[in-house]
Amino acid sequence: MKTWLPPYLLNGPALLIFVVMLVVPMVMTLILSFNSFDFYGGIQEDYGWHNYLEVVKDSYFHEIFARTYGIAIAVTLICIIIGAPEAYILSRMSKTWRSLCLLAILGPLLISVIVRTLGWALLIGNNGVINEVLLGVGIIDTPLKMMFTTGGIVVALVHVLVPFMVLSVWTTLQKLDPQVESAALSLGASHFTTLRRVVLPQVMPGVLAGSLIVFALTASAFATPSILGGRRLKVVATTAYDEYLNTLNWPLGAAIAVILLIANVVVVMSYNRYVERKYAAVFD
Amino acid sequence: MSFLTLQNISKRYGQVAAVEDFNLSVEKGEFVSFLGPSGCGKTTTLQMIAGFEEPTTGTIHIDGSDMTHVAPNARDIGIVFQSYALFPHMTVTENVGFGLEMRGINKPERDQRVTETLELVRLAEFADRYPKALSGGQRQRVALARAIVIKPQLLLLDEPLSALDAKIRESMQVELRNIQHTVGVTTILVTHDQAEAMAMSDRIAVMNMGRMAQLGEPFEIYENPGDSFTSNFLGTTNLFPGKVIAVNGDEVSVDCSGTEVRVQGKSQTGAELSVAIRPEKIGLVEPGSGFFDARVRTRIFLGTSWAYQMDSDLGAFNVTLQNTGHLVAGEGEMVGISWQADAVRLLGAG
Repeated sequence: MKTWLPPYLLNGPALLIFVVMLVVPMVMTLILSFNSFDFYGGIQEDYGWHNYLEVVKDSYFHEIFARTYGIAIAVTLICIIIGAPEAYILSRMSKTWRSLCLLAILGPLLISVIVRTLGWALLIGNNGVINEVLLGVGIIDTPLKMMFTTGGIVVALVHVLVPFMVLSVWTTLQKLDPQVESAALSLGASHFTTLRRVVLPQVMPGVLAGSLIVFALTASAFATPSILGGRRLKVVATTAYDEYLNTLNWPLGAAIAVILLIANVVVVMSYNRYVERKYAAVFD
Repeated sequence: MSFLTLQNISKRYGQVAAVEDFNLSVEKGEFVSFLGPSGCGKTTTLQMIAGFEEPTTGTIHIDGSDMTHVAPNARDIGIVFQSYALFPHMTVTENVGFGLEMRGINKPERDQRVTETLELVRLAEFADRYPKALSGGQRQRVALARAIVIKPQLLLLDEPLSALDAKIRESMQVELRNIQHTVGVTTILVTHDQAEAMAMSDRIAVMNMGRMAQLGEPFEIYENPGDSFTSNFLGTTNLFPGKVIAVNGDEVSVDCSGTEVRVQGKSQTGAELSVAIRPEKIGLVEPGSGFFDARVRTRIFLGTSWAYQMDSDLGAFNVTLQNTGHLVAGEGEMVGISWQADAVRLLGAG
């Protein structure tokens, strides 16, 4: 038997599943995105850039893309602000407390996305717990609008994505030499200066890696924006879904999905490039 | 009052005492080592001087002022850490300049002092490198430069050379000592390496189980160890347990497993103790003409010297002989054992 053959044979089953389950649907989606759609005749077997042009030209889609990336940036920033200090505090805790707090942080990931999001809906809805309490106490006269707002989507996404930031930063913190902090203190730095000038720069790779994960997951999030944003406050993922299942314009939906994929890949790749170049000289 | 005074320092973690009743006075410009095995409390004591740990009892005075409860960043102490603890995201210049920056010293003066200090540690051409691109010895020198550039009142060295390989370690010992002399800073070194402590220090504080076992100049404590712990930790010592059979003025006769050994010292007849002699102070003579005879079990050539392991009626012991270019006794041969009268010490039993 040829020596190159066994590895391929061993890989075969996995490769087959990968091709059938991922590559084929992706290629079909790509092909579909070049077809056109006729309201009466359905999908037409022709090829052209018209779906892409429609997305690029229509301000309706511009707004949706802007909202999606706006939400992604906001969620990423909030996750950094909450997650990085959380990880630092976590790293300073005793073992027992750390396990408990880690469980609490990872909690959102253990619950089904639908259940968790519906929980948020119960909390922030017009007749939700928060509004009922505020109305009951008399702080407000009319219910606060939190459901079907970008703010609501951002809060719910931060809730589930902050663990990724915490874990990512925590991993880098564990590689930190604890004597480095002592060194900064002995040289006359205050605790705050030590954090800002010595600890933070060293955990930046962790913060950047965490933001990458959070950003990518937010930009392609579907369930949370779909439930909390409703059918009118759309993001790119829910728009593609609506084109497929409501308008039945599959080619346009496919084009939107492809654009989202390409945009995410471009953002993630260039960001990663930047991070690697920036820290290559400093860290192993 | 001395420059650095530790008075009745103790540190307890719950029921466990890491340091017990530690007293030490260090003069300005002096180089003192804390020497002991791991867990002897030497690092804890250093941490208390640095301010990272607070003593359970006792006081620490530096230059006359009570520093016992002062925060580490207000103590004006330079520390070289075991891991060097360099800031990996800063260049050598930025690392060394950090302490000056924290003291609010302006950039021109900072740059000048950093350059001077880097020249002192012979790292001038590496100023713009990151720690990652330096060798172990170079990192060590950056750590030293960072600690001395602030002209601290006190320099603490926490096992600074333990991560280096033997050759570099020896040359760094000399270099560190020279730099310390040039700068004139009062220095405390923590180490478990007796050769390092002896090579560098003005005085050594030998520590064992949280207490100071002995304090003195290296030569003095090497020659006159107070107990068997110190005598075995500083160099190696052959201990022959025995019983005093006669005392004649300054001379004590000890019966060691049937052989009579005469030692200069004071004791009482009937006392149980140990006769201690350093391996390098034993001489080999013709069989029958020494104090007793022994058989060479193994002989190891070390370049500058020979290390012998001997078997005798008194038990096994070691002998170190200078390599003079001539072969002396071979394995299995019988030799006579001899030494100068003042080379032997009496130590308490144990």
